[in-house]
Amino acid sequence: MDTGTIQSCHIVIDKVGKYFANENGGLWALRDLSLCVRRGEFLCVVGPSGCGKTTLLSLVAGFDTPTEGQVYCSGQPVTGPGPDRGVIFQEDALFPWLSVAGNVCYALHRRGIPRRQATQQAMHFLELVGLQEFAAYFPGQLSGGMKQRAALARVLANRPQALLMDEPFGALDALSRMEMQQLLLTIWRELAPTILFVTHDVDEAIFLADRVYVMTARPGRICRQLQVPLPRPRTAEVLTSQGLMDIKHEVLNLLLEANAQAHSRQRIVNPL
Amino acid sequence: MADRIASRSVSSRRRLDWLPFVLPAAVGLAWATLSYAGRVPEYLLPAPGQVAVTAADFVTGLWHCGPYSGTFIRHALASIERVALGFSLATVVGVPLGLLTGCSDAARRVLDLTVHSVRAIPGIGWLPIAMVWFGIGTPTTVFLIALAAFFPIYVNAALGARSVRPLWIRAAQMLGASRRDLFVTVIIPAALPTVADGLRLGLGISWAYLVLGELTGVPDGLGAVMMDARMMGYVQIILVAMLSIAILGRLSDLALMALLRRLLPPRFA
Repeated sequence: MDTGTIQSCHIVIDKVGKYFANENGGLWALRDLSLCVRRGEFLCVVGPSGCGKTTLLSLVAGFDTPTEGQVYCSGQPVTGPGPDRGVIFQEDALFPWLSVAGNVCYALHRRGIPRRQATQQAMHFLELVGLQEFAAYFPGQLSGGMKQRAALARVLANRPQALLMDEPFGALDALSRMEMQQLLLTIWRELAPTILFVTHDVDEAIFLADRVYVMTARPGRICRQLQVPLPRPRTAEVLTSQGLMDIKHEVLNLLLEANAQAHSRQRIVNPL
Repeated sequence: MADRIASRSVSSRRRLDWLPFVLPAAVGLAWATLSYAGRVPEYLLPAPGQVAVTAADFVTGLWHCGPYSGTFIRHALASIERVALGFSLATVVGVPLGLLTGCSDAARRVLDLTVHSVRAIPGIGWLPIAMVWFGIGTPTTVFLIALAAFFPIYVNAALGARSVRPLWIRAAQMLGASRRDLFVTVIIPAALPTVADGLRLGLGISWAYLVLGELTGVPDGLGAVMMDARMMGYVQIILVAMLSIAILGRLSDLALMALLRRLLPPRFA
């Protein structure tokens, strides 16, 4: 990718490959994968389970380093995790030994913000996600949806420029998931972070995103990029609109086609 | 008796649960039946009544039964002091070293081989060399207790630090935690429940090694009482001293648990 793109985009993934060695020889989880996320954009990567979405996000978060290629954030190569990139994990990652407020204050305390001020800021973000009455609760006492709200407040309190979200609503029931999607869109509109959101849920990707990247497995790579021209603000009606259906149709076709190809390749490799 | 005191302090407001007392009562009944039917000689197992009077006299000194009349407090305090010293020493050394081993590969490689080799020597195997080094008395006992209690404390602290969920580490890192922050604000609190298990095991072992240390000719302590009483054929007092250790051991465990509960955050024990 040219330096102009690296400088102008918030997050740039440049011809990245990630190889995992294992006892069977190893495999490329990602190969020759490039994408860029513009500042303030809501970008979704949609792909089947096991296509390397989580690996991709770990590379951007800086938890892991690519085998090939480079990840850039604000024009700088990513060398490790940093508070400028907030991560919402698939699983519950709240600290169970801290209260909800304590969790939200965690990053603020690390930055040396005085206790009273930190608590005030934490309460503001808990209000934003609708958890102000649960500040004194412990994560073990919360439902799955509330835990993800708390996780969101914890990350937002740190005022990251980018949110990296790894199927954050995958474990929630349909209704809570819709609520959380709406909440996320509201937060995005108010705080305007750049969002890189990975999911296997095609509806979710289209409903949320400005642009959708379709990803295929083994090795994980991007096979298509789609604009989502649906108007904002998006409400639940969008989910059943013709516009969404058309894009969904296209995405599903791409995924099914890729899947069929992968299967036929496997049959050639393994004649049994 | 130990259990009665224990369950009171835990569930003072609940209705008394009688089930835990069925077994002691049955054993007591069998003991009484055998004794009063004259089926066991008194020099092997004295009758329960006799033991009860000896126990009361051991504590209060009101019956003037013999040389141990009213000496319970003195002996118990000596024993408690040794356990407290040995256990504290084991904790102060074992917890930090264990945590370090659990989260640093270099520390693990430096310490693990040595610690686990030394661990293979049973605690009792240290008695002769401890007597050579420290003579007979409190230092030897404290040394044995500290050594024996160190291993479960160390191993559990290491296990606790090693099994911290990687997700918590990542979460802390992306929230801006430094390496020091990770240790203090994630690894220590996350390992605490496992560390607590190790401390409880260590305290139990402390009482076992207390008796071992005190059997070797110290003038005071419950273990010394047992050994001296055996020389004099004073079987009642051996049993009473054993019972005292059972009660003190249980009480110390309850005290430790209460302390740990205050330390551990709610909903996370």
